[in-house]
Amino acid sequence: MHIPITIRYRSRNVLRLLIISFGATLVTESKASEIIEFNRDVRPILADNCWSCHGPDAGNRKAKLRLDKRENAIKEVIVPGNADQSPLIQRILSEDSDEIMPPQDHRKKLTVPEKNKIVDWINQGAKWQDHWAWIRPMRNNDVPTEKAIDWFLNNRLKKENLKFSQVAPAHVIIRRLSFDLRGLPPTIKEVKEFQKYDTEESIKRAAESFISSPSFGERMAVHWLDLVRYADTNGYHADIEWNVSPYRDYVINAFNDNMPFDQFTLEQIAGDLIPNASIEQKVAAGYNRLNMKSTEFGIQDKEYLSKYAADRVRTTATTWLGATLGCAECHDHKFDPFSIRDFYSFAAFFADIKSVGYYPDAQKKGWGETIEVIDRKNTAKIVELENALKSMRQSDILKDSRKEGNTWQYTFNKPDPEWNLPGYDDSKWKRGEAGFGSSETPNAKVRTEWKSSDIWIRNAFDLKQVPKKIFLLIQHDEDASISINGNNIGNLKGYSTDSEAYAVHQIDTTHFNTGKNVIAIHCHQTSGGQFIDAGLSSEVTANIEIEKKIKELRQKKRKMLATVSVKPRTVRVLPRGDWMDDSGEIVSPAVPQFLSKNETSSRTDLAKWITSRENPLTARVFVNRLWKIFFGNGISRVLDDIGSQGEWPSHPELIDWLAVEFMESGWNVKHIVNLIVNSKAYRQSSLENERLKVTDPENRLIARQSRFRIEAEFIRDNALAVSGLLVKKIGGPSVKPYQPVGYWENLNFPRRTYKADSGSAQYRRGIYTHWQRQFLHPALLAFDAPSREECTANRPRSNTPLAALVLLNDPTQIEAARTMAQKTITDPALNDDESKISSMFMLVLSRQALGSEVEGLKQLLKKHREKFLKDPKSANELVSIGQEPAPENIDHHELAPWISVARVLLNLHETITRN
Amino acid sequence: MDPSLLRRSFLKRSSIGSAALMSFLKDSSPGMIKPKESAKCKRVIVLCMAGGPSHLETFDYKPKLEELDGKPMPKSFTEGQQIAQLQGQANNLKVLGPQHKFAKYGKSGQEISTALPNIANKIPDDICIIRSMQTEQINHDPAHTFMNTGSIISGRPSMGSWINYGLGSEGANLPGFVVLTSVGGGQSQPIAARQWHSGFLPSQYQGVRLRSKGDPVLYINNPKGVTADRQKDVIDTIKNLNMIGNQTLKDPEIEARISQYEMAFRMQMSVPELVDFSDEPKHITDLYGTKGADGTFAANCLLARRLAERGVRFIQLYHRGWDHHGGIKKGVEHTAKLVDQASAALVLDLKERGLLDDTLVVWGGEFGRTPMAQGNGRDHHIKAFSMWMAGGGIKPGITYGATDELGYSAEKDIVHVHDFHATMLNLLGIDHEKFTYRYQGRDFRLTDVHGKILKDIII
Repeated sequence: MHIPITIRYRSRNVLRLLIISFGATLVTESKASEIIEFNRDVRPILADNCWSCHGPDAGNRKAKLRLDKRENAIKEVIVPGNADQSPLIQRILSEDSDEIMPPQDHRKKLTVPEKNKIVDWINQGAKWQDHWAWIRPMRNNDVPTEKAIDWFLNNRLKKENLKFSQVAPAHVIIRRLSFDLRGLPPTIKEVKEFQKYDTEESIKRAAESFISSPSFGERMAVHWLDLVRYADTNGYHADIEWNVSPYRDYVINAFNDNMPFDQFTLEQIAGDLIPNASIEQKVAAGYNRLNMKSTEFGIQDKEYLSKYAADRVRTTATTWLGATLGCAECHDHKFDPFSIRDFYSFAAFFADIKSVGYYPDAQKKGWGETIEVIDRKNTAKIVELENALKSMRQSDILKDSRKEGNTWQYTFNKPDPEWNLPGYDDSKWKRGEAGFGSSETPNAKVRTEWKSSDIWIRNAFDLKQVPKKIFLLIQHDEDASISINGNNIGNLKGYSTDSEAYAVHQIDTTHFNTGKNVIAIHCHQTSGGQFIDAGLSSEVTANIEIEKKIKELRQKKRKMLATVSVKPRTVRVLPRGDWMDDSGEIVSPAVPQFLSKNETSSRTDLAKWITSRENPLTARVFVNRLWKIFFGNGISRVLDDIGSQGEWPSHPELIDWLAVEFMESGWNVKHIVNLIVNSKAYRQSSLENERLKVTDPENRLIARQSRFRIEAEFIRDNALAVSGLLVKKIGGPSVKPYQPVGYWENLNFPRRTYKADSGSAQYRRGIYTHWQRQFLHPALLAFDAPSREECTANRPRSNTPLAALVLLNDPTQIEAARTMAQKTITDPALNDDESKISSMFMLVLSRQALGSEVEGLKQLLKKHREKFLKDPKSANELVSIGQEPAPENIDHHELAPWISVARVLLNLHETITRN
Repeated sequence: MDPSLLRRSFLKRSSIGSAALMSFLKDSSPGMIKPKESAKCKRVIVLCMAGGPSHLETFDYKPKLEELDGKPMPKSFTEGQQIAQLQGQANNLKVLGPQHKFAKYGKSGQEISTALPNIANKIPDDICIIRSMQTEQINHDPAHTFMNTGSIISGRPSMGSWINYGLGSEGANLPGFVVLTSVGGGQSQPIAARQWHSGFLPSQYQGVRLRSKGDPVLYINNPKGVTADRQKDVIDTIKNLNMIGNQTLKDPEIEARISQYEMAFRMQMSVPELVDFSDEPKHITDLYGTKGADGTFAANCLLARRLAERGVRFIQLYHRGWDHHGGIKKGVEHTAKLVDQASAALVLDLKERGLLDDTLVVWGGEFGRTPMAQGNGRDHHIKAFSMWMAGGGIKPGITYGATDELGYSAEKDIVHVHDFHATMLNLLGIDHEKFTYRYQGRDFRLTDVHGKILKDIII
């Protein structure tokens, strides 16, 4: 049926008649004045309807015709300036079922307005543009930075004869800021503070405070973790736990530290390759190990290696490029200029990562290389304690020589056997200030040089009375034998590790006398540096406590799957994606050829290219996703495909301006966030007037703000926060909130039972919830948190009965309601039902309740007071939900009806909506 | 223009969206497309025999296999082919003869294993046996994913979600896609929630598990101490306050929220009744071989019928007990005992009630098993396996397709997983090539770019 077009169109005259007969009506119908812009108007039509057969995929191209390149299209089927003469138009307008394009049996059909657009476009000269996102973003530098967002939005609104809506009420804006920047509701104090200043000033202050709070990182991390498909289990088959939580904390810290995004990129893709990489950079490189892996018996190593490779391509390309390079696994991309070779060349960047396909017995043997990580907070704590130790360990009986040198008798020659006795005559020995040692010994304060293998030192001191406790403080390198008054009190092997905070050993005080005492030490070293110094002290009990604490903190290290670079595996193009087919050519690492022809060979090169000015995609993709957080949708709503099949941005100049600003600010995330939340556009009311409902129902023009449900994690956080249960600890191993019994019954190898955490771990933010890929916590799942088996750029926002059931019945929500009720009714400042209801309302919704709202809740309260009074058993049951014991100082039949009131508040649409 | 597209674009572009539709179509949630008038089937029940039942011990009798029992497997069959756990012994593969006897049953003379006496004796003339199934994935987890979503990449919608997205739900009180699981008879291979996930489709189309332990549906039970009337008071007050909030906003999302809470409450009311078999006469519980909703496959089959009666569009039962790497003779016997009677009962019961005409019942696993021995069991196998379908417009009493003489490869009328999907959608009145969803810039289909409708097995 598809005879090559060049043959079919030899006889132009006949076809011309055809065109005039119905083409003419169409042309006159369309507005001739409208200027057609190829990228905005025509490209999406061609891409969607034509390119699957006449596009970049050479393997499936029909009639050898390409309509994705102007030169080909013009040669074959388009006559610029003359639609009537263009075979393309003849075919799309044809009424002949054998002629019409797209063909009659094709799923796609062109609409009349679409046909008109193509006609107009050709008549206007068929001007072509490269796809907007493939061209490097440029911007108008005349627009002042602080006003740019409003300037671009206003320009567009003016064209539509629209303007920004009025400023939203203060309580709305503070909630908006708080949820957007922290994923948490504002406190009552914050709401009041916000009302003190004019809106502009208040926003500035609140934004500054929220952006610099540690909750900012937790909020921003949620979406990043979706993209990199961070989870606590392996995903396939047995779905067992592994250790990657330090990576999650790295992401939170990076956002909090405002790490430049180019650095953030480099550390994740190639942190392990950075010379002298820090532990945090190695943790970041764990990005490369977050993919699903399998330990299912009987799988083929090679097959799974190819699955993992493809997953890495999909994830990295979607996360950083917003590109569907993953579609080129089996054939050239249908719509974008990615070839199958590009796909495998991209995969080759990751071929050096030590990996197998099949991880046998991973339940016991794990998933390959790991590193041990002490988290940032504990590291800081250790440093602090060690500093405390340094200042505390001052020896009061016999001074050690850290601050100033204490003088000892010493000799390098082996003395008589009685050298350590109190009465021994050491006057022939030399005198010198400790410490004794060689300058090669790291961090040692050498005052007297000792280079030979052995040294003997003695010191005499007086004690007015023997204290209750005596401690030896010592730094030795290496073995040291210590005597007090001729009695050997210890032989210390090896060397003490901390050069400044000396090791502490308690000594039996019976070795000491009132009056004169002698300490004698023999130190022996075998190789490397050497050192000896010591002191005696009566007050170091606290040190032992601190040392214990340091030891405990050091033991709190977590494991993290590590990226280890080895000799790269050979990567071939797999024809049709078939892992068993070894016939394809071998490829080396390269970025998609149409984007760059630069030589690249390593993950480091990839990361650097991603954040180079040569790459037109990453900055746009990032700011577009940021925009969704603050306005509900991206400037281009398709967050995971910036290519031809994505969406033409509603404000192309704005997305490009933001992208350039992002790069020129040094990839400064907080800077862009600040620009957005301080804009006038951001502070608008979300109310739509009748006109906007008709002209811009989806709020593409931003003549108002948007309303949307908050994310799954924040729904949990909100309940915990308003009830005061929330434990605001940052980072750490994942935690297990209450979960319905038996939810894991379909897991096996091994079978396991979910055990909810007790104590403070029960009240952590949603981001720390144990992420079981196959059975994600149902309260998160019900609110659209993804399983993170695959890279996810865009969470939907559903509204389902299952979500309603979670808010109504999840013990987390009930316990929060109970705690909130308890606090309210025991607050001495609130003395009647109305003030209690109003106070709870304020707490949950940051605003005064309306009279009708108070009335509705009062009625419920009254009804349930009567019911629970008659039914004490139920009241006891309800107030006992959650791990905290039921309160004893409140009547349960009085608390229970207030729990009903609190439950209503936690379930309101407004409560879980960011307005 | 395709009317289905019109409808979809209306929903997509209007500010009302599905929310408002929800409020005026109270008793059911609408689908995104209108099924063709030729639709033969309204709902589907999939009896998923998870683990991979051996076709050679159930529905595909191979005399030649019996002959070669214990002899080396001819290299011509296995060379260059993918194998799973037998990877280490590729040069020492031996044939394992059928471990159960076969006979011909019913008027149609269908050849069925004696290990499945109820299916063989009670419903041979109701089912269409397909002996020429093929899949692409040789390990459980990806094979299930492929069977359910037509793809091995996670994040694609399962067939139940697709169908509910397309056709909507008929029931007012229950979700349109319900999943039940049972175990017994072999090592219980895990089943991931991915198998009933809605992937990139809106979340309301995901499968909802109906459980035998704990809450039958997650969070369906009221908190302790909250009686039904008090729960209703709370929900009524939520509605009241939401409506006050909506006086100024006129937000369709709030309207949707209100109706979802109503649906949630209706679910809370209807689920206990659903799982209570006390209204079933004894001859029915005896037919299935169950006493109550206790999580057995038999109980789940009766629940499946009750769900079908209540308008649930897609019902999927997993029996996690067919992975017989060793001891296949006893293993098949044991697992068959747990599923055979109830599988037949379900078909008979649906037929009795006139429901079989518009209900498609599907019975089969994620793959088959090797003609080669793995000890005294069989390894995973993707080149051939069997499945049966009944009702919903499927020709009864026929056998379709055939494997080679050793049951290694499907040879005649090969049925790929995509073809199964295409056929199922066709029975439901859905054109599998036009039924798409735009995601990541591409129009996705359940059948990807494949799938042929098996016209020969459709009435």
